[in-house]
Amino acid sequence: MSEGYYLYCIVDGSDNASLGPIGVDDSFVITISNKDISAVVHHVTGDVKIEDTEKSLQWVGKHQSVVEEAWKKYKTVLPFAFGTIIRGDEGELKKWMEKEHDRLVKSMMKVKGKAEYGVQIFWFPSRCLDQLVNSSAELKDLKKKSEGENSGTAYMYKKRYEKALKDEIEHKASELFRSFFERIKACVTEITVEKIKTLEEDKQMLLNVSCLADEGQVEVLGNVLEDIGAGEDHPVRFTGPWPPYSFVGM
Amino acid sequence: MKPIREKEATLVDLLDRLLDKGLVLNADLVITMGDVPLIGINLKAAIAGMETMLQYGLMREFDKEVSEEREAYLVKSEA
Repeated sequence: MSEGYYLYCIVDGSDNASLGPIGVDDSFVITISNKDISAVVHHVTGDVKIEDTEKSLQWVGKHQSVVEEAWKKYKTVLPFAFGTIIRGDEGELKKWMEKEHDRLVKSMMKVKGKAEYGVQIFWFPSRCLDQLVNSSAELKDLKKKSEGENSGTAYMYKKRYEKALKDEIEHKASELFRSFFERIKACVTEITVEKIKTLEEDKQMLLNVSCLADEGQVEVLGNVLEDIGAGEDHPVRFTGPWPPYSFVGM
Repeated sequence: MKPIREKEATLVDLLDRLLDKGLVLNADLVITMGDVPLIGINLKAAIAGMETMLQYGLMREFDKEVSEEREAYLVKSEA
């Protein structure tokens, strides 16, 4: 039999409270304090195994709702990744909190009064092809030659044209990325770059970031994104507020 | 522009955070509850599948039921 604690988050405050049977699998959630901080946890005995997708989705939902509850109650939270169980009894957990105390408090100070927001900006590379070709003498030339009569050389030029066009699209993407990134970065406390995801062929993700921001900053950020997304060319997805998963600083 | 966080629209954003981020412990301190990265991949695949189905109008009833259940739960838990 193994004993442990399923960890939801670390909160600012020490109260050894009971939050009720709101946890994963209706587990009873409590807080365990060390000095001025507490871990929001439920006690685990025996093996915990996730068998199927439906169950894991339920558990993920519960994990998130407990973190949200704690966020509302304690104002400042450092969320754990889903599925983190610390081995051992209460003493072991307190020992870990003691050891990490300064680091946790430092992270807590950073996220205090702030939340995380996701920003994704998209573009449609195919819509700027003409513009890209027309603004480059090299591309214009290659395009013309690739449409030539001699099928052998035309084919060769076509390949070169495609390669040059691909480079030009990538160049354009990084230019847009930099400009949007700088504008967003300027109005938030901290920013991290996330992986770009592939979508449909035509609509592509240009930028994917997580931002840490307070209420005032979020308003400014909202205005900047409104401006970026104003035309049809760069749709924006703006999500949050999330607990600061990306800014726990460990 | 205001940030959104409706459950249906932002589940993937939530999963990205919950599964891939947050505080972590050294491996020697933890009890494993299965292959969390694999769970993540399966979940995201399932969600993507659900989104496609919703787009095509399937599962609308199911989705409605789930939201109603969730709302009822929220009302209950806030009371």
